[in-house]
Amino acid sequence: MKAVLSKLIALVLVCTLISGCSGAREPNDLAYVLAIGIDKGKHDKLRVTFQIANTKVAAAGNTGGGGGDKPVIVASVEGPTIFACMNLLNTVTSRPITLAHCKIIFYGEALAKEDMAKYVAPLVRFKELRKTIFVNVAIPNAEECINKTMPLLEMNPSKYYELKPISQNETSLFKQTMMKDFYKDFKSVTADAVTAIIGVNDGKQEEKEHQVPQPENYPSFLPGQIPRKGEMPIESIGCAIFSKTKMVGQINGDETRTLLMLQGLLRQGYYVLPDPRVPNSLITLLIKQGKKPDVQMDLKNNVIRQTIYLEGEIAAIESSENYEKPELKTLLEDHFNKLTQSKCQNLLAKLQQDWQSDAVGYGVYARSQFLTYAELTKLDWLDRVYPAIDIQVEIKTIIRRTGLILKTTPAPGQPESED
Amino acid sequence: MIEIKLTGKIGVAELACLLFISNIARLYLSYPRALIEGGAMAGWIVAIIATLFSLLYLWLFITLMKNFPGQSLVEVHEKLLGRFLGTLVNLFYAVFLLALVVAFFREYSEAMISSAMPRTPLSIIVGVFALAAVGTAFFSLDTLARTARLTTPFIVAALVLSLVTVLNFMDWHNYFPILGTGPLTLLTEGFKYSLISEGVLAAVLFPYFQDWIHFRKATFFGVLGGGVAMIALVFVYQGVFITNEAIEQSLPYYRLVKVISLGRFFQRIESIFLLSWGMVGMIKLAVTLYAGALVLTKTFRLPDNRPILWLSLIVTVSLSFLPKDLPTAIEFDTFMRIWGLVPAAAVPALLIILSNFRKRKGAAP
Repeated sequence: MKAVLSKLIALVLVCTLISGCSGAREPNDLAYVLAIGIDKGKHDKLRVTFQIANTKVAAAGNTGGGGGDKPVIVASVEGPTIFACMNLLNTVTSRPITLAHCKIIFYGEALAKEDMAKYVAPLVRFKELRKTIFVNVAIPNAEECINKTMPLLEMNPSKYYELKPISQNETSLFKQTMMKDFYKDFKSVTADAVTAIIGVNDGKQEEKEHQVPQPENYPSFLPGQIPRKGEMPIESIGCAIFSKTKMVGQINGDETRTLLMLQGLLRQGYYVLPDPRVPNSLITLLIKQGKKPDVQMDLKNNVIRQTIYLEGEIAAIESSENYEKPELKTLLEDHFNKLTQSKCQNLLAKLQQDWQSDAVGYGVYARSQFLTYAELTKLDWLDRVYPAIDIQVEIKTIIRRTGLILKTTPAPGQPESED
Repeated sequence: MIEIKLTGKIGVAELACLLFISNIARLYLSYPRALIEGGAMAGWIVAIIATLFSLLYLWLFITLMKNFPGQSLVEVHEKLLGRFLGTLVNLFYAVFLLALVVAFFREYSEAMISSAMPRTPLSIIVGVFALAAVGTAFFSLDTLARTARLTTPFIVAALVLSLVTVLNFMDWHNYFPILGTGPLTLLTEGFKYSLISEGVLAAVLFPYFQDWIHFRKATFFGVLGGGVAMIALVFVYQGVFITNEAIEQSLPYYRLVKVISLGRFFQRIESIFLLSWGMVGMIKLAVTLYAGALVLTKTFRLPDNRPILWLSLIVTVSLSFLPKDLPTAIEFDTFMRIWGLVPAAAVPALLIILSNFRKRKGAAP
């Protein structure tokens, strides 16, 4: 009798406990926000735009249905705080809004130029939001960018945001920063934040009068400037530079690659450079980071010596010069080193003098020079030391491979290589 | 002496696992954050110092119990301090253990609400923990020890997996300046956060160990294992989050597992780790509740500890609702951390001195 009673009690307990917690919410009953855009409000303090997944379309995607509905629904609400806006949006939608599957947050340019900490910290505290989501600055504003984001290649719109960082790895023309890293740099006493910028390209840039970048600075575009036509008006190129918690400037695609190179994070990128031996002829190299940069910090003499190690592959040579030959390969490497070194110095001058932003994060190398945190904070890296420190950059490039051609030979009519 | 019946023998592994789980329960709460606040970049050094101190406290109990084979801490107190003073000290120990249960009931439940079940009422979570804890403790210590032995591999695996999967986010620069708040502060902070209740637990449960050698082995490995787990967590956590960010978090372990993101598919897996979190909480509460009830049972010379178990449960659950909010509950925990050193270190040290003094005088220790 006792055994039967125990089993009965156990059964009742199991049934009660596994039936779900009292706060459970069914996945089918929620509205999933994929992207949030935060701008300065027209009337109230903030204008928050939510891009919500149309689960009806996503579910129908595999079966070919969907009835021509949009894969995402966009709604903007004005309010004093982000969560007040979210609450207001809940009065419109039939399903409760959840940020559990949010992939990205866009901050409008105007807002980013204010003290951003007060718009980032609330999101870090919020338990639904993952700190591995990406943070972008939208130009001119987040609402427009979200409205024009059309993930045409994806049936599932969330995949668009998930795959975006992979395209960054291919080009290194923008730097996707996770919320946790962005917040970390806001809190850091030895580094400043940097993140990707996105903008709208109306497709008319091609028809407008615009300055074509020098080959060695290619592609020095900002969002909205790429001469192109076609669908998908949103483009990511370049980065927003922050000093402490305020956005202080933008760098273009080419400068972003230089920044990544200085940080030791350059995945790969095609570099165009003028042929050192043949005028009006171009060479394209596929460059990637060889190993982490070597940074020697000499705080006594106020100097940082950095060596950047790059590896490359010849992607294209327009002339008939045989750059595959060791002597000419060295010439090409030196030529590339000089160009890149000058780009690094130009970017560092901007960061140090114009923006007082340690976006590269040199300050973290200063940390190991001190024994205690009190000594480090006394240094006052961001305000006192960094803007005045002399940063000397040396580039060491090795062209490891020459593609599928081992010796360039001239076509009939082309001049023979002098070597 | 009161004999509480066991349904089977308890081995070293079972008891070591029980003490290990009891020791790592604090790892899931805000404790790692406090270590980092104390040591800044050297929070992991504070964890090492705290572990060394806690091993020292454990050594006090190991030394003390050597002279009293087969007897629990309750009997030791009465023998060394006399009936009246011994009873008072025993009551103090019972209050200490039950106060730990109160703090853990509230903090664990609040942690569950803050992380996974924001819409579930506090009473339901506390109720489920209470039911699970008393349910296990009711079937005697060997049930509890075997449960601990069975769940330890899963808990350790979850812990190791959670730490390994965030290694890709670690940044070595986060550990510099290497001495953080400075050597002296590290030492004082290490002492401040060194309280462990496992020495007390083990000494109360001493009769259930096969002998003193088993007692020494089980307690040492249990506490050392817990210390290593704590050091590893603080070390990895500091590698992932810079100090200023790390000290902001209320639940460092939860925050850490939320970061796990290995490709597009291996992410959002914190709910798996929450299971181990729940298991640890349940066992910790059960063993502490059991020990608290056992002290009362033996102090009042009752034949069975089960009625006291229910009473203790009702009292602790009721008291756990008293703090008006989570910060108050954490404040209570901080208070316990400082004053808990009296039963966990000061009293056994005094008892060793007393015991040796008696030995020298030729009396029984």
